[in-house]
This record gives sequence, C-alpha cells and structure tokens, in this order.
Amino acid sequence: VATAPTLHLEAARRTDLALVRAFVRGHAETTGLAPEAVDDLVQAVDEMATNVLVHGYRGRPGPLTVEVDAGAGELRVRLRDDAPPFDPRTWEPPDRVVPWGRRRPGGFGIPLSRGCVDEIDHRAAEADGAAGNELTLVKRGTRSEREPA
Amino acid sequence: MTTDDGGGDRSVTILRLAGDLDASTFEAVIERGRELYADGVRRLLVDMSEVDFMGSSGLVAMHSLALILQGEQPPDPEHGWGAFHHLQTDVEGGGQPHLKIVGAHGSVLRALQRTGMTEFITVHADEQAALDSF
Repeated sequence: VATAPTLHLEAARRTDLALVRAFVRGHAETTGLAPEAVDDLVQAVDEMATNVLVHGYRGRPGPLTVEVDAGAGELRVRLRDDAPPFDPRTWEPPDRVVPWGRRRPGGFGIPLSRGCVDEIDHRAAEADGAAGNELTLVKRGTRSEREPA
Repeated sequence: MTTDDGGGDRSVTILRLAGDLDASTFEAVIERGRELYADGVRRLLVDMSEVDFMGSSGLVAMHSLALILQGEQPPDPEHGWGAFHHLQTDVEGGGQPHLKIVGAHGSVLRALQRTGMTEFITVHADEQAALDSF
C-alpha cells in the first residue's frame, strides 16, 4: 500500500498557508476533480489550517501535518495538529440578524468550509492522553479508477 | 498593493491587490485602509483582478475596510470591535456606499457570494461601471 502524500511542518505559522494550499492543490489536480471542486477543497483546507494556526496555537508556531489520501471517487485531506481539541462541526455561527455595518468582522471560515466540502470529520486525540486533533475533509467527484480519464 | 486615482469628479481611490489574501496578508490590507482613511479617502474601489485566492481572513479585511471607511474605529482582528455608535449607513442591513469591489473572479468571487458579503459590498465586473456606481 502506497503511503499517502504528506506535508509535515514542525513549526507551522501563517506564512506557511500558501505552502499548504499549493500542496493540496497539486495533488488534488491529479485526481480528476473538476477545477471548481479543487478550489473548494483548497478553500476548506485553508480555513481549517488557519483556525489551527490562529486560534489553536494562538499565533505561535506549532506542528501541522497535511495528508492527501485519494480513495474511490473521493479525496480525503487529513490535518493533524497538537492544539487543544476543537471540533468545527459543533461551532455555531454568530447572530446574523445584526446588519453588516454593525457586525464584528469574522466568523466566515467555518460556514464557508462546510459549503466547500462534502464531509468534515473530527477526532480529538484525547485517547492518547495528549492535545491534538485529526480533521478530515472529504471531497467527492474524483475520477474513478475504473472509468476512463 | 498599489493605489490609483479613479479619476472623474467622485474622488474614488482604487486599491489594487495582488497575490493571495489569507491570514498572513490580510492585516496589511486593513492597515492600508486605515492609512487611506487618515488621508481623507472615503470612496474606495478594491481591484481584485490579480487576487487568485481569498480566505476568510480576506473577507474580514474587506468587511473591515468598509467599516473603516464609514468612520468606525479600526478593528483589532484578534479582539474584535466594540459597539458601533456612529453608523451612517446600513441600518436596513443592505449595502454601503464607501467600498466596492471590481475584478473578483473564480473562488474569490464565490467566497464573497457564499458568505453573503455581496449584500454589503457590491461586486462589479467592469472598472468604469464600478467607478460610475459611486
């Protein structure tokens, strides 16, 4: 079994986000995902990695591993970190009754991500007795190995 | 990141962005907005033709620019804003007249649309039409 392509950053910071996006884009583009679907996956990965670096690590450098796993008709991107457990699926958007002109800027990332991928899974690494998260983003619509390209 | 005079008699400044607008670059855009406001700019057209990626941080930057241009105190992205007391616009929840966007395309345009930000910031395809809309 071939090892999934992996990008490991021992001390990731916000300036590494471009590298994370390029890594995911480069692999996603070889799977037959439509260009717009590749963009969506890259968008969701950027949002989740940004959350880890900005909120999880509070701006301090920390480890981040990105793994791209091409399965049957779908692409899974796994993000692993050592930040305090946070499940983006449980996050509730801010009150949108407040008009834009009086709204605090922010809160866009998680709802945007939800719309960009087909599935988001989260597993906290608490069983290992340590901090850390494993987040999986699934995008369907890759080229099946049985179908012609 | 460069600025141009939009010409005409409406005193519109054009802010041309290039590259990726993400969590490592958005604060510079907000800072530029503060400087422009301090220089007297009240109508700003942001040209995103050369922006190929915009994350939610970029959306925060656009929202912040609009608020700065309507006279709000500059935000600290980490700590948020206080209450706003000097609102000039948007009491009905619609758009505002200070900031518009031109040239947003692909995933950048989709991010603006999916988050509903196009309700607040009008996005134009054509620069002259955008300038004329102020």
